[in-house]
Amino acid sequence: MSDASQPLIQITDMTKVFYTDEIETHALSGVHLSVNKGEYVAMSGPSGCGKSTLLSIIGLLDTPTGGRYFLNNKAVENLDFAERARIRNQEIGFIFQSFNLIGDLTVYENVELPLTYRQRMPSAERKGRVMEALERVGMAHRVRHYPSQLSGGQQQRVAVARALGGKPSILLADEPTGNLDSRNGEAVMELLADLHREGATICMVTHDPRFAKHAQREVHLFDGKVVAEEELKKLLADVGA
Amino acid sequence: MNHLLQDLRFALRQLLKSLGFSAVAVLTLALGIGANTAIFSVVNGALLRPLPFKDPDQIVRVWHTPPAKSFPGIPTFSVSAANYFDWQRDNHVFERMAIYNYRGFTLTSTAQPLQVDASAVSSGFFETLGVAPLLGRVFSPEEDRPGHTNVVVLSHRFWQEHFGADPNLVGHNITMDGTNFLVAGVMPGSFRFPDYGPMPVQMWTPMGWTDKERAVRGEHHSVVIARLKPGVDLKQAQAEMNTISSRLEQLYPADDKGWGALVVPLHQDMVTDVRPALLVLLGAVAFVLLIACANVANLVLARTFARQKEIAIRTALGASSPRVFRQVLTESVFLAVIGGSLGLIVAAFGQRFILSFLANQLPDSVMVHLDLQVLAFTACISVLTGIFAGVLPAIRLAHSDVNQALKQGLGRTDESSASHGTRRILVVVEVALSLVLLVGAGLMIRSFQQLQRVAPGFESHGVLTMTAAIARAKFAQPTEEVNFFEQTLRRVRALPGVEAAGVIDDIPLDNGGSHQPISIEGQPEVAMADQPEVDVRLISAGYLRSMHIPLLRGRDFGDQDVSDRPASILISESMARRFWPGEDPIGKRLTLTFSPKQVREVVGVVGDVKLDSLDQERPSTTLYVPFDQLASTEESNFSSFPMTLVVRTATTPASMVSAVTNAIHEVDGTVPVRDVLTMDDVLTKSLSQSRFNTLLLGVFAGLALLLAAIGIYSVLSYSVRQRVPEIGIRLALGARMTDVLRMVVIEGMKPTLLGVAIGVAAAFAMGRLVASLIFQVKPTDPVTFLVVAALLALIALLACIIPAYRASKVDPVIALRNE
Ligand SMILES: Nc1ncnc2c1ncn2[C@@H]1O[C@H](COP(=O)(O)OP(=O)(O)OP(=O)(O)O)[C@@H](O)[C@H]1O
Ligand SMILES: [Mg+2]
Repeated sequence: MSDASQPLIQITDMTKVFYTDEIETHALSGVHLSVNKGEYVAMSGPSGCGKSTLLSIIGLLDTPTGGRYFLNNKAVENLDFAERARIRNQEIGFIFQSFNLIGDLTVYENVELPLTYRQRMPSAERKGRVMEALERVGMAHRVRHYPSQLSGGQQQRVAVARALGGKPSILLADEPTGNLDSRNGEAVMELLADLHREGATICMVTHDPRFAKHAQREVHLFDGKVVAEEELKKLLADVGA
Repeated sequence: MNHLLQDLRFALRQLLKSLGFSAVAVLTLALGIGANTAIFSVVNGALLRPLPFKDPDQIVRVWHTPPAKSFPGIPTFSVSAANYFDWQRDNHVFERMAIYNYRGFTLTSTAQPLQVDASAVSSGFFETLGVAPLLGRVFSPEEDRPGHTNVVVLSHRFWQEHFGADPNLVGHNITMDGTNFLVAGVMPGSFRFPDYGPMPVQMWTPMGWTDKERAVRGEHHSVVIARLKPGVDLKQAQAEMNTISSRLEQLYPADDKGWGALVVPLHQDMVTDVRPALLVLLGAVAFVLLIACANVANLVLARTFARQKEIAIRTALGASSPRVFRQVLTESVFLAVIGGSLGLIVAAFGQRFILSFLANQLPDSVMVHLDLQVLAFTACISVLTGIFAGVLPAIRLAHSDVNQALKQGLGRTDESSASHGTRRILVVVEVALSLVLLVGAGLMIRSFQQLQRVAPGFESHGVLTMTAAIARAKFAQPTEEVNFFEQTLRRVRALPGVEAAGVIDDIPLDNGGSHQPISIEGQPEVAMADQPEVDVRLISAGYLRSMHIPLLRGRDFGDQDVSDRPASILISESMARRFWPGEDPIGKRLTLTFSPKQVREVVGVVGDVKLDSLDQERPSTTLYVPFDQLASTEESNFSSFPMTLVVRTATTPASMVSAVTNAIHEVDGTVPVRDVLTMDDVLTKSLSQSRFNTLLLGVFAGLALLLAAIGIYSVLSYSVRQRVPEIGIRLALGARMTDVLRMVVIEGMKPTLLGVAIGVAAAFAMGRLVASLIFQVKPTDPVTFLVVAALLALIALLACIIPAYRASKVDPVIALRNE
């Protein structure tokens, strides 16, 4: 394998412990994961197994308690706040379950928002990027609308456009269809599949096995660890028993 | 009623539930309402409550208006005897008129000789005011004739303090100035008219002018009151007095040319000094209350929207809009009433504080209490404040869409944005109001600084003054009085620690002293009305040295300036410049019109001294006459008068009081001593009105600033709390710490800067309201405006810091988890 298959994300022995009221919660306990450029990975597992926690750490919203994390061959587990903010802004695109558009801003402004946090981007370029992203998700005709004037599916498409605008290395999606009906959910999944075909790297958390099939690869989490599919079934059966 | 009780009970429970909110709101209201009550009680006492006389609206004062040429900047003047009698005879508008002036006595029936402030009143004085004595009688017309005037009516307080309220005193004699006076009656306690300075008069005695005294037209020493005939208004009275005055001008051009008359309602006349300041303060506290209202509205709004779900559920369960409306209003009125009750405590302290400053300016017949009227006022403004603060949130809430409230969207809902808009407008209003107040306070401070920078023309530090209250009949001859003070001064100068000592008839900055017309030798003779006027002071040698008033040319008074020597005078620098510009004034000669036999020669020029007040704008054209030449200047029927000792000490002046008093009493043990003051005290007293305005407006502006800061802070921290999820999203999208800080600060500063802009415009427009209260500062003083705007912006920035810091500490993971 050549440089091209060099992993974009390389996580080894990652742990995450939450301390609340003297109770330790081991959300992640020794996760190994690597994601190559252009890969589409789906993460699944029972509620509370650590999916969102893992995604937050991949997205540099949170820092791990232990282990190593290379993003684009760069160790990123111990960066300071400002540096993490910069990487989030440039390398990562987030898509959330509840869209998380900002109610006071128009569609256009929402998509533009991450670009405004970037220094020295000429406004013409910014405008081009925003329109390009909105056209890509088919929402260019709604630039002046406010989120409350859009349907859920439309809102999520705008959220995808916002994630795309920054031309990130990777898209992170935490149950992007969780708040959508199946038809709209399907449409967003199509959109992600299209983006993947065009070369995007995607990490998606989902409960829904139907949507997981869209991905190239499925990663199963159980109790803070990555497990093989058969093992997961066995474990689930044990729990059920 | 049932509903109301239920609402009240619910309101109480709500308020107890969020004690922090309730405490802030109640305290804000207590300060706002308390400040208003305090000022209102003073305004009520001074400006609104009628004087304790019969039909007080019918009583007026009639002043002379002097010719502007001779008396630049002096609008009204005391009245001369002859003009008064002509007014009285010729007018058809007054039911009654009376004239009175000051008279000092020395009471010797008491253990210690006592200086007494009395008023000599013409017949009809008590009738004009419409007051009856508590005991005995007032004067009969016969007693207003020379030789019959040894009779007095006592004030209630004087009677209590010095005669133990002895009812048998009436009909008996007391001894004053060595003569027996019959006590004819005692006035009721509420009657304290007129007052001389801070003290009301202690007794009244008939005027008893001789025919000769009644004919004096050119000397103005007395005050006139009158009662309008029923149905006659002020305009008609003024018109009549104008007619009479012009007739008098034609009949007696020598004395009356240029002299008019002015009719002023008595009440208004008595409070002219305090009126502008009180009205400005009333405006200022109203602003403070408005800011407090805006703040409470803000708090209520924030809280009701936090309870929006609960209220939506109530509405869903069938509560009607009016019901919700009433619920919110009940709560805010309830808050305001509690605030108002606490405000009364604030007011009681505030009032005492205000009065301690106003004591010098308020006429004594004005009484200030927290009475029923004031309580009613407080109750009214409390309820109004509550309604005012509650109505906005209530409307917003009663009209909020149930669906909207239950359907929690993303970021902010439309409803919460709208409420946020309202709250931002409230901040704009608060900031604008505070800015106006701050500008007012700033102008006062600048003006006060200017006043303090004014050089009075003398060195006040280290000077002790006290008045030897010589009664009118004390000395029969001027030489006796001159001798008395010469001996006294000799003893005082011999005291260890005394550097210099002198006497003067009226010390500077103490509301006294005479203006007199003069005629300059070599200039054409003109009628008295056209003669220039100057301030005339009687001083002994040693006065200038005691006060460190510089001698600029010529010589000081000395041993040669005694009677039988050529009459000499000293003049101030401004007087030299006015009458002999570019010439040497030494050796020039002039006469004082009231003692025309003496031609006086200028022997020296001394520095200007501020006589009226530190903000006196007119030039100090002062003429000093040597006290030792009193014998040769006084024309006829001499009555002795008080003089004030001015002593420069090497030690602290206060430590010399008893030594100097003893020196006076060694010469004559029966002379009362009064007004023991250091010159520093006099200076401080003359600044007191300005200090009062500055201090009070400063306090109110500070309060406003504090409330505005609380307003900005509360709006912003509420907004930040609401925006936590949004901030989380922004952070996830790569916002840096500085981006978040900037966002919050901009959000806080936008309404602030808008408020500053509006406030600057408003303060600019309202400038002329304070113009009369400030000295050598323009109401549009750019420095004040700049400093105040910067200060407000800075305070607003500080108010933003905590919410901004909190926003920057948002953990995106948690924020996004909780959305
Ligand atoms: N900030 C936190 N403080 C304490 N415990 C936390 C925190 N965040 C997550 N946890 C705990 O860590 C574990 C993993 O949580 P996580 O949100 O990653 O689960 P998840 O797999 O995304 O579940 P779901 O499918 O329900 O979203 C859970 O037990 C959770 O309670
Ligand atoms: Mg999750």
